[in-house]
Amino acid sequence: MRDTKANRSDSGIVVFVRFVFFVLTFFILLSLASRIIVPKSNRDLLYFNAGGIFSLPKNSLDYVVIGNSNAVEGFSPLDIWNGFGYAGYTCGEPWQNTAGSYYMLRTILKTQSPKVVILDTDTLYERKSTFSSLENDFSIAVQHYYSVFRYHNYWKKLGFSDFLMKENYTWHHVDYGHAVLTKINAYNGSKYMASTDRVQKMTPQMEYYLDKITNLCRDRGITLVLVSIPSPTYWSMAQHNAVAKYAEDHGLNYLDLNLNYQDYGLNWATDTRDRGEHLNCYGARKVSLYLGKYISENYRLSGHAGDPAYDVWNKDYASYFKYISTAAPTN
Amino acid sequence: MDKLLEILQDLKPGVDFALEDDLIEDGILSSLEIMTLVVELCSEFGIEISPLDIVPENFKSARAMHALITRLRDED
Amino acid sequence: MAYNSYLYIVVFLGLTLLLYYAVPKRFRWIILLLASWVFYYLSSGNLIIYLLISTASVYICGLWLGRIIESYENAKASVPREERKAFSDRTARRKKLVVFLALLVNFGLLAFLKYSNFFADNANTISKLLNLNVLIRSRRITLPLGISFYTLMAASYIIDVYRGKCRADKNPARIALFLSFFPHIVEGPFGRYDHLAGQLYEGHPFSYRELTFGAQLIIWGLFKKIVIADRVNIVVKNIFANPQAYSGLFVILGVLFFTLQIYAEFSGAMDIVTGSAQMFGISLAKNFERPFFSRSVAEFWRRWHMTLGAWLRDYILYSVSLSKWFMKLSKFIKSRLRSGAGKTLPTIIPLFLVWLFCGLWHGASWKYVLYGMYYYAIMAAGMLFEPLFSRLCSALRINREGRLFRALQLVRTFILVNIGMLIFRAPQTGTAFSMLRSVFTGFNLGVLTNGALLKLGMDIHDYYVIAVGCVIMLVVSLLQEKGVSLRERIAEKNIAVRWCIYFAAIFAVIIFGAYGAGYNPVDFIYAQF
Repeated sequence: MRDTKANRSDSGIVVFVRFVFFVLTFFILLSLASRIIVPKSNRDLLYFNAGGIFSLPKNSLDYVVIGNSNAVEGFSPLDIWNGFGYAGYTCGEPWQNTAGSYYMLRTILKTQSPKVVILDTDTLYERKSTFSSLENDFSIAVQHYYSVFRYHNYWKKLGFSDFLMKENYTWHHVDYGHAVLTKINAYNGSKYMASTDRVQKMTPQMEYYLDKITNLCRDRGITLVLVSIPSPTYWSMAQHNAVAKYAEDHGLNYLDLNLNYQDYGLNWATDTRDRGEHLNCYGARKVSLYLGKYISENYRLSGHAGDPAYDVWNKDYASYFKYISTAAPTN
Repeated sequence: MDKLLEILQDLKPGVDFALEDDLIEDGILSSLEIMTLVVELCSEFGIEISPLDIVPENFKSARAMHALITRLRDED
Repeated sequence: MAYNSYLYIVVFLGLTLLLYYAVPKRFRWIILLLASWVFYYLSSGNLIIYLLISTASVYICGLWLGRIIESYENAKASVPREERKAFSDRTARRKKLVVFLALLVNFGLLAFLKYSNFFADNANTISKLLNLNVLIRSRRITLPLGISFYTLMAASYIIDVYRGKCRADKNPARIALFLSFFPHIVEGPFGRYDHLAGQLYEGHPFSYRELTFGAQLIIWGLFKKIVIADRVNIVVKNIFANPQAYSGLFVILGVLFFTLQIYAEFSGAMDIVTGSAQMFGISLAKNFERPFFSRSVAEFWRRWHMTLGAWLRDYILYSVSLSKWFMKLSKFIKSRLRSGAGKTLPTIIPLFLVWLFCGLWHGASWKYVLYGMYYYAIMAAGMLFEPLFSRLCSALRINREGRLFRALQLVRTFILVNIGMLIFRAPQTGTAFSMLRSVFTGFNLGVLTNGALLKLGMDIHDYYVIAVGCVIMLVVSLLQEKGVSLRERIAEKNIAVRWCIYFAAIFAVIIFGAYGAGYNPVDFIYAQF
């Protein structure tokens, strides 16, 4: 037998030291790759329009909304700005689960220090098997720490300038994360949220990440509000019961907008874009104004109305308002 | 032995079975050809070959096959 | 738990390795068995009961057979000569009964779980034809993980004991480990008891070499699965989901890509599981030997899914063609037919059963029966016409070992195999035929230049990756064909070169892998059998 390197019996210490160096080098390369193979414009970061948050001045937001498509389409920061003077942003990802919400919050807190964090409760329920949900959470964590796992396909657009690792976070999203959709497809289904004692528990993983979100907010002095954005398809009384119990146990405020939608004028004939799954911009407007009132009554945020540094918000609201008042509804 | 060589020549003309000593490794006999051969040997020599006997060592050369046949005949 | 998931590679395999080498050698088998059962339970939950039933049944029947054989050996000498024949016949009958019982339990479960709907559907069709008013309802049955694999392994153990190839195992743990070992439970390779059981049970010492060689194999397998197979999957899915929308070159591309997909994926999975086992110092059987260098379809099947071929040969072909009734039948055929056919028929008849079984093993539908019959027809025709063909070649003075002839054989085999893959992948048998026809009716070279290929779900960068990936696989195959052991070669290099190769491989998977946003995770095809 030939005396190959691997056959030669190196002492255990040497092998161990080599192994440690190998792992170390691996992580260094991983960090490097995560800085090179990543979009340099914030336009292509995160999903939906969440990347726009990186172009805002540091610590300029009063609150943020975290959730999935329900939040992105069902919540309008500009209406709250206009009505109450609070600056906020909606950071959503498709099919985001609680692990995704947790890492999204950590990403946001790198540049912003909101007083209030609103978490859309739809992320607390994942429609996946235990196993694929675990696998999903693992990959969300890996992607958070080493973004090359998330943006690896960016190699297709890689250019020389990417190797300079210079970021260009100037893209401004004029609706602050809100996807303004004028589609109307009425929900004609039965009444939902009928009273029940049934409790549909969260899975242990989801609860684990919700605990982490709760603790993170507490440590940073942030008020966490759980909000259920109206959706007959995705929300039920059994889920409400579970979240209400959690909120009570942990001293959180929970606002279920499914319960009293008549109170703030939500109309299922005109305010949903896809028969009760998501709200359209008309529904989002009603939800946001109601939520803004709730925040102003409960949390006494000072806000930034009249602050010249926030002039752009007024401009953005003007064009947003013009759009929704003139755009023809479609289906 | 002559009869065996005859059968082998018949099965695969053009191979000098008396000389070849690694029929399997050299890829001269495939497993299906061996099956044909086994069935042939059983009927010609009136022996019973069990699946356990079908291993490369017993079929790698005419001599090995001959030894197998002799052994199986004696066992009966 | 898919072998290409984070949870398998990082958590499950990592933890099991740590535990395995942390406990004393004589307890190491316990870690493997527990890990295997946990692996199984995580994937199949309570269906693990079927695996346990199979394990118990072959263990008990094995012991029973062992007792029969032992008492025969002990009593043989004392039985008078004239009664010896009757005594041995009686023993043989009892042995057969036990084997039959064990096979009935195992194949019975398989038939019930995997094939009952197929049987019911066919029975319903027949009863409809006969105007009988009987309808069997089909049920949705979730298959226990790897049942098609462990059932065949259980059968091979019991038959090996019956044949006297190995002794009945008195230790149930060894049998349990042999059947449930987590690297081979999902999609093979089919292990043999005599090769594997001892290896699994004995504790292996920590070996740096085995660990690193195993890890390298895993990365190579991940490369084939994630970078190549999952990337072409989009195009394959597209074309086979809308067969009427595509013809000509598209169909050819779809079939070629599917062949590439299943090869990269299945052989990649084998690399991952063989590498996993090697990290514990355990060697699994080889399942692929560069099948696309085969000169005939028969050779292809000796080099593709090799352990299935070997199983079919040892336990179906041998069992049938060496049985007494079949010997009588072949004698009868030979006495009637003095020509060449008389000689090949005794091999061709049992081959039918082999291919029928092979087809049905892949799935409970007529499509897979057709798949088996397709290969059976090619092989039977090859054997029947071989004498004619060889006379033709010598008459025309064609050198069958010449370069050109060999190249033509490679191409012919490749085309035949791809047609087989088309049958295998097509949603229905009818679709396979219409797709095959549309290759010729809708042939149009224009699609190569008008950009239509870029609308199938792969952009130009993806095609580059596939091209480079194929070249890498080809070079590796050619080197292996020449007998070069790549891992040995790498191990000879100095540390800088070695690390460059390792990191290049790992980052190729991370960066060029077809995973994450825009790609759906693809289940291993063979894990569904």
